[in-house]
Order: sequence, then structure tokens, then C-alpha cells
Amino acid sequence: MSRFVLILGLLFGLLGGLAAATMVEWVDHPRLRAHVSVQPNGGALEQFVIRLPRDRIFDSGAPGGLPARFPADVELPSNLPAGVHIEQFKLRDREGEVIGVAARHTQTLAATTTAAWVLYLPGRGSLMLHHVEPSSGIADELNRRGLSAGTAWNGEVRLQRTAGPAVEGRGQVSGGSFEFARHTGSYAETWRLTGIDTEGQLRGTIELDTLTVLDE
Amino acid sequence: MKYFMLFVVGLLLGALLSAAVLWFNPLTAESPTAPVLGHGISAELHTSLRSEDAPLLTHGGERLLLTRPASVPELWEDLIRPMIASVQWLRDAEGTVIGTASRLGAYSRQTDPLRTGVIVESTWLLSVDGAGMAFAVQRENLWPMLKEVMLPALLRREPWQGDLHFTPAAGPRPDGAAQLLGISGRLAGAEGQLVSTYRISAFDPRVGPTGLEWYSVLSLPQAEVAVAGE
Repeated sequence: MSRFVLILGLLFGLLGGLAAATMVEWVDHPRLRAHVSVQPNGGALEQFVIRLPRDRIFDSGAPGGLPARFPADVELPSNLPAGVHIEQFKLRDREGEVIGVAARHTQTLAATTTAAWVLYLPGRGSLMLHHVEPSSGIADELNRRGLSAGTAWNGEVRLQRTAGPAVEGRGQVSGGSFEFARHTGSYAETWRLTGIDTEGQLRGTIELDTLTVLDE
Repeated sequence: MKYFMLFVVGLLLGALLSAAVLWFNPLTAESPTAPVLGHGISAELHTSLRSEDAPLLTHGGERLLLTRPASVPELWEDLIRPMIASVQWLRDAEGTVIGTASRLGAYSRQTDPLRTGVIVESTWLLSVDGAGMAFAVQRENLWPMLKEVMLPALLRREPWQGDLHFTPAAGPRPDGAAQLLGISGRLAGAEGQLVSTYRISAFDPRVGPTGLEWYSVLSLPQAEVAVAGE
């Protein structure tokens, strides 16, 4: 009888330990309700917002200093590939809550500048976007308005950054992971700038308006 | 009372046995075979945790991992606290910078000590000089590295030094490789794979890994690239 009770306890301990190991939710990312509106003709609209300068994490700096390198103490190698600009931001929903982190790269090849985004939302997965940039970059647009690095400016500028490859000059949604793995669609990227400080840091918002459908 | 005590002793022994099963669990061990790379175009990319390779490294402040540079914003907000964000310079075998990468990741909800291991889910944005840009979705099982290096160093409270290689490939492709999707240039539209191997040489229980390098192979089928380039 003693041996039976000992073995019974051992089995309970072994199976209970293994069951706990697999049933406990070791990673549980908190998530907010997604602010998605469904279109009558199909597709889901969702807006992501970045507030400048407070949401900046990293900026490799654009030629001409607009926008400027951030953080100021970041060390970049002198032999960086030309024509590449890297940015990372905290990402908000339309209500202003921080819900993820976004990375944006631009690269110029054969006179065409392509921009790509990864929007990483821990509770939902990552969403991958890319678009062709207009022929003039942000620095060009600002320079055209007489703005340059080292000069403070206040005002209002709206810059549409998407110029294809999807219809109506929108960018392309290319899926992602988890919730977004089978999402396709289009998006618009809009910069609404309200100022630049003397160090070349921009003030304003970046809006990403996505329209996605599930790829069957 | 005697039987209750015996049951409790059995329960404790069973719990210890389950811990041993989890420690030596073959389901969460490193796969003995690395993913097979497809035929076509391939490129070897190398980066590390050194400041000259990783100018940006940030997280929620609770991880055993250094942040860089000193003034980098922490990911302190509730929803992004589990995340790690980094910028990496990618080098070829000669050490020349041939590309850049942003890596965003977090521990995955698929983490399960019995069936999958400690899973980290990352999405990469890669810019390869002269070739174009690509996305990569990568799932890695870090349990073998935690078990061999980090947990022993943390338990002993002593720095670890050595030279171990791990290929923690865990998907999302069926062969365990990361899923690669070309965006622009010669990579536009191509679907391929990315396989990363970690080389760990130093771990300090106070600051985390101090010697860590990645060797990644990016592979794309030739035919798809040729079609995309036409």
C-alpha cells in the first residue's frame, strides 16, 4: 500500500508538472482593442500614428540633415551604404495609445526610391508595407519651401509619401505574421509637419492609413 | 498521516522528474539538421552585438541585455515593454558593410517548455546594398542557448566564456527557416528563406551576452529572381 501511494504521488507530480509546463501561458502580451472600421465593399480600415519628435527611437539621418541623426550620441560607421535611410518609431493607434514599434527603411536604386515599413504589434503580430516614394524626398520638399538644417521653422506642411505601386498611388500591404499573415491591401503614408528645430528634428505626425483584406 | 506524507514525497519526486524531463526534452532541443537552403542566389551576412555592428539596441529595461546608445529611448510603455528593437549593419565575409537591417521582436505566445521551447518571433527589414530590400519573418527557439550558457552562468553567478554555435531555426517555414519576401531591386517579388546561426563567446550574468555574433544566409530561388528582374 505504501509503495502504491508513493507511486501515485510520483505520477501526479510528474504529469501535473508537465501539464502545468504546457498549459501555463508563459508569454501573454497585453493588447488593446483594435480601432478597425469595416468598409461596406470589403476591407478593414485602420490608422496608425507616429508623433514627432516624441516617438522617435532611431534615425540614421538624411543627407542634408533633414531629418537629423537621432539619438545624437549614436555611432554610425563612415562606410555606410549610400542611399539608405533608417528610422524607428514608437507606433500609436488612432486614439494615441502606444501599441507597437515601427521600422522604416528607404533605399534608392536606379533613380527609384522605395520605402518599406514593419509595424510590430506584440499582441497581434507584424504588418509589412512598402511603397514607391515620390521623386522628391522629405528633405527636398522642405528645401523647396526654403527650409534647411540649422534654421528653425513653424508652420504646416502636408506631404503624401506614397506614390504606388498599388492603385491611386497607394502603397502595398504585403502580409506579415500571426494576425496579419494573410493580410493584403494598400495604404497611404502622410506626414503632417508643424515645425523643425535648429537641430533638424521634425515636429508633427506621420499617419499610416491601411486598407486590408484577408487573402483567400 | 503516513500515507499523506508518502503521497507528498511522491508528488515532490514527480515534480523533480518533470523538471528533468523538461531539461532533457528532445522536442525543445536544437534540431540536429539545419534547414536545407534552396538552389539559386544566396548571400552570407554577418553581424554582432558589438557597437560597430549594432548602433541601436533598446527594450523595456527589464531584460538582461545592454541598450545602446546611452540616450536611446526605452520601450517603457505597457504594450511594447516585451519588445526588443535593434539596428544592425550587415557585413560580408571580408567585413565590408553590405547592408543594413532593422529587427523588431518579442517572446512569442507559442513559447511552451514541453513542445516548442522558448520562442522569439522577429521581423526583419533588410536593405542589401545594390540588390534591394526584403522582409523576413523569423521564429527562433532560444531554449538550447539558455540551457547551455545563460542559466548555468546565472545560477553560478559567474561570467561564461567559450565558443558555442546554435542554429535556433523554428520557422515559420516548415523546414524551420525564416520566410523571406523581396520588396525592391533584384529581390522584388521573390520569396526565399533566411537561416541564422548564433556564435556565443561570452555571457556576463550582470549585463547579459557580451560576445554574440550572427551568421545568416539569405537564399532566393534563381528562377523567381530572374522573372522579377525581367
